[in-house]
Amino acid sequence: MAMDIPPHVPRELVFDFDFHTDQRLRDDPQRGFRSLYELPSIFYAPHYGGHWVISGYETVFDALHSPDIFSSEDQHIPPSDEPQFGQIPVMQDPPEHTVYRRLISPLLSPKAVGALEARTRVLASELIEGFKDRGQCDFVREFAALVPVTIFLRLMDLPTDKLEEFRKWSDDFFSAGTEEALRAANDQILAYISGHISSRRGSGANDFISALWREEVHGRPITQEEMEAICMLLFIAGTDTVTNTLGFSMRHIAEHPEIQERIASNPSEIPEAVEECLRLFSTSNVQRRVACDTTFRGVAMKRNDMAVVLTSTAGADSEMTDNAETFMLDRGRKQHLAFGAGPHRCAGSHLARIEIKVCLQEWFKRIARFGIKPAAEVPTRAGTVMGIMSLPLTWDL
Amino acid sequence: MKPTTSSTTPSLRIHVDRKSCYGHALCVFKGPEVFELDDEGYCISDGILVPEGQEEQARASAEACPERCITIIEETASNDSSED
Ligand code: HEM
Ligand code: SF4
Repeated sequence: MAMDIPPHVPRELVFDFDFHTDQRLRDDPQRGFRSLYELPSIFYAPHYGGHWVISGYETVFDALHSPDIFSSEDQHIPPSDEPQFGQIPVMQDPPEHTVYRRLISPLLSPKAVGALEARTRVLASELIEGFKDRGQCDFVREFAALVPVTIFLRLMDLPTDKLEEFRKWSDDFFSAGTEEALRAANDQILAYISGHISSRRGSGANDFISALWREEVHGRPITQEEMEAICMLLFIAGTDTVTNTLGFSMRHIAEHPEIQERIASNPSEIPEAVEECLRLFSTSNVQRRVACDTTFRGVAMKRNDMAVVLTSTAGADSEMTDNAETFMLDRGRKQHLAFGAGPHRCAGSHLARIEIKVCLQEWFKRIARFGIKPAAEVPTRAGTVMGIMSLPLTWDL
Repeated sequence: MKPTTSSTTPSLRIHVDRKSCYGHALCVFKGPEVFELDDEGYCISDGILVPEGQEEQARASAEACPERCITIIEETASNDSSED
């Protein structure tokens, strides 16, 4: 904790919490983040240059609806003077954000992504059929990591023959330990998709890239750079998130035979199970930069303070629901903020819900009882976006 | 102009604050017979009357909307025709 606390931060709001490596986040990062409910809903963590940590359903909801206080532009923990990747529209503020968000929403609306459900189903069933007779698999590596990347390639109509390479770049990206490694992985992915983007200009096809080329921004055609920023964001926001939500959820289900039994005998409850998975095993928090000197819910903040907003645990707030930490299909309201709220609410939530639902449906059709392989390692990582890198499962043949 | 009902039993009208709708689509998830989204995924059911028998769905949707932008207003046939 060798760092100065800025003078506007009251000492009683400072708690030693490293959102990447804190002990509480080891093995079970969601539970670790949930344990922060013991602390004030707004506290200051003296790591990575110092930043606020905001938790609790109401407080998070409020922060996400206050883009004039909590800006998405130039947010970076630790603060950085380097130019940011500037992903569109997630690192923009209204009103500019609204201009771009309007282009993306129709392309990812429930209607637009509905057609991907059948493809997801074929893909998921093929993958499971491929390992079912082995009595074991690595759920993350052999299944949960493959579905979203393949569906991303389909959405973009990119060839799937590069799938293996693409997955490796994506692994590099999400496990990058340094700023350089992150940039290198980013450049690799970008180099691959930017060629496909430029060659689709003027195409009348209906894939995401071709359709986006037909859009206008501020009365002029969209540019190659804007196209790249949007497509890169879709890749970053739309693959790893689904993989890890599936992975963490399945780990919990694998440890609870009673949940398996319930789902296997009531497959029509799977959409409700998806909401319960999102409520407890969301993988995404968000970051913001304080845009002005202000007081937010009684706490004085200064311009350029950074904040980690815990969207991932908002659904486990005991003020919102009973037995908040328990996976319960019978819970009436499964309120959560896994997809955020307000202007930046996840544009891909409809596709994400389809992917998670279909994966669970196809799985439970074929493998109703399963468990974690005894003594297996289940490596996880914490941070703004959490990850589960491997989940070895076994079942009786 | 909004349709009036001839019945005297209170009917339920949906109010959606469209400024606050960010397209979560949970209204449709909980109330497929009541709610509808436009092509961008935003709710377009502001002002509609809840079809008979779908009152539960409508209430569940209003509860589920993460933006809290759905309210259900009970109106009787008489005040229904005297609005605005
Ligand atoms: C379980 C899976 C997912 C989770 C938990 C998740 C979570 C989130 C969250 C919390 C945000 C808000 C970011 C912020 O407020 O700064 C967000 C934004 C976004 N997500 Fe997702 N997401 C998931 C899947 C997807 C998928 C599959 C796609 C695309 C196909 C996608 C595309 C986006 C985009 C484009 C944004 C930016 C929206 C904006 O800034 O207006 N996400 N996501
Ligand atoms: S649930 Fe609420 S925010 Fe979402 S589409 Fe329906 S009305 Fe809009």
